Amino acid sequence: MLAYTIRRLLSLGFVLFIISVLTFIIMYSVPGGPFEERQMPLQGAQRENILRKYGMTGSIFERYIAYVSNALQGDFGYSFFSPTERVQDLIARVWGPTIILGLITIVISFPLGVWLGIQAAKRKGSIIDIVINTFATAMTVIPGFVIAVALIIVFSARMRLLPSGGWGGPEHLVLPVIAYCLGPMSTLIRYIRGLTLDELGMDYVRTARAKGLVERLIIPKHVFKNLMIPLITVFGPTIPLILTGSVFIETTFRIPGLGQYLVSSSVNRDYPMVMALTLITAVIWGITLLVTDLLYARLDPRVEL
Amino acid sequence: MASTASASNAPTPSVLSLVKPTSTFGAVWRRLKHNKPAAVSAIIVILLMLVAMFAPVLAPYGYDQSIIQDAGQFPNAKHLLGTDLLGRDLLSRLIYATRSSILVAFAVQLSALLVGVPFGFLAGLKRGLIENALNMVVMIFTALPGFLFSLFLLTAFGAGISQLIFALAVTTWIGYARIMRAEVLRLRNRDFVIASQALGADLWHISVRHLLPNALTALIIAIALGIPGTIYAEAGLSFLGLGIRDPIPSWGKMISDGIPTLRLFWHLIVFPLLSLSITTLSFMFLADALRDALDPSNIRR
Repeated sequence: MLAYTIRRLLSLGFVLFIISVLTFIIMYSVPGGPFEERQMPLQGAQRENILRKYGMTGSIFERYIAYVSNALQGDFGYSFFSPTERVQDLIARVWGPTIILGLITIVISFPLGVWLGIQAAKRKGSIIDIVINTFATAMTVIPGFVIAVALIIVFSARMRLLPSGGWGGPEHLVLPVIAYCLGPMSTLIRYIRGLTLDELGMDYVRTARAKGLVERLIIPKHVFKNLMIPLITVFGPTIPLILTGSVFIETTFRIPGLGQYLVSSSVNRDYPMVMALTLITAVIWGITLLVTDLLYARLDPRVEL
Repeated sequence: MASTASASNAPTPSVLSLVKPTSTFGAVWRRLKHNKPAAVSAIIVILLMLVAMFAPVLAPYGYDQSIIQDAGQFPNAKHLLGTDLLGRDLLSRLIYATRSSILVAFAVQLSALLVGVPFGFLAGLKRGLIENALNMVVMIFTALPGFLFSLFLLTAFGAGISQLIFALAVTTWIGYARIMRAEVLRLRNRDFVIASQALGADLWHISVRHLLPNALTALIIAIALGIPGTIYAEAGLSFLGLGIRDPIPSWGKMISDGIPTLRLFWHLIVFPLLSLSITTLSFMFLADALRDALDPSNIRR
């Protein structure tokens, strides 16, 4: 296990290297840029200074080496659009709200989704099943940004109960958390319901029933273990996704979070931000995948690492 | 495709021997036929494809034909679903939007499948050097933040249908690769695979007769959910202004264009939203029905 983990961490380092090279090459070779003559007409010396400040002088090879050696010392350069701040400080500042929002969302939506999914499966065809399933289905088929806008119209514009956006007190959290939860929760409900129904048709469930196991113990003692593997492989990787924020939720509710920067940095060609965000996401995903696989092997003895 | 899934060759218990023997495909079809939501969904999906194909014939107006004195009308006799603020007939735009949304979704899923499935299959099956190399590629692409990468590609290469398909496919295929790899890892040490190996079956036989059919259920569900998923991704990119280029409509673009005026002109958002939702529902019901029909342990029904 330890050897496997070390091997995986080493390969994660290699993956990071590849990704940084890839991103660098794409950024370098894509036509246009933030300091084009057309975008920003500057005198020769000024231009030189600006380009030097942002590490945009020299060949692609020199730039890459400079970037990596700075990055390894914890300096990711200046964001083009927030030149007073270093990238790492900017990210640290805006990530807070996103993480708060994401953690609350995960803590609420994951257990609730799994629980509701199992309840629906247990009572297949009953009113409860139909209600849960219809709700989950409706929430899956309506895009998140429409739900977010609908929530604002109902709860802020009409009923004037909650603020329509912004960041601050706990009242600012309610609508974004609801909007953010509905997506993962309804997907989970539908997925878990399907899986549980599958499992309930399996021989081992019949055996458990045949040997006289009480019905209410079958799911916690037998079925749940078998749900864990697909649960981890399918929904484990969505955790970092949630924690890096949703641009739709953050723009609709005007939350100063990381999700917005994921999009704006790319649209604005804010290369230092793009680079840093790509690497951060890559690290988080790499670690999530490693944890996923380790759990995988722990939970299913048939899987060898 | 469906014919490989259930255990038609298994020795049948006495109850089943009373039933007229049919092919596996026949059995799956029989189960599907009796599932009303699935039958309706199948019809809807077929209709959608016909609408997408014959959009120019069906649409009463052009998608960018602006009749300015009719601007902002609610549904009426002349414009069945009303018009938008530029006086464009909503029904016609919806019909053309079906075309672009369906086209993008199918093209993205197909290209993602063609790359992802063989890839994930090999990554799960092979050991040693090949496994490590393939897993490395899986890791790199999984670690690349998907939506960010799509955005980046679109801002780099510009908006447009083919760029959109490319940008979405690049980030979609890895999902299929991962599902396929997980399925093969799950199945590879099962008794029936080992037994088959012990009986001298070669890799091809094991793959085609045991691994692929058993992975099919997961894959079919993923496809049926992936198609609306792509429609949503396109809708999201449209919301950010990076989807299909004006004036060509898509459902997602019509919805996000309607959001600012939602409280006044509800029809601008309701009809595209309904199209999107009904389409998604149809694919979801189809996925459910296929899952039930393909599941050999569901023999009771």
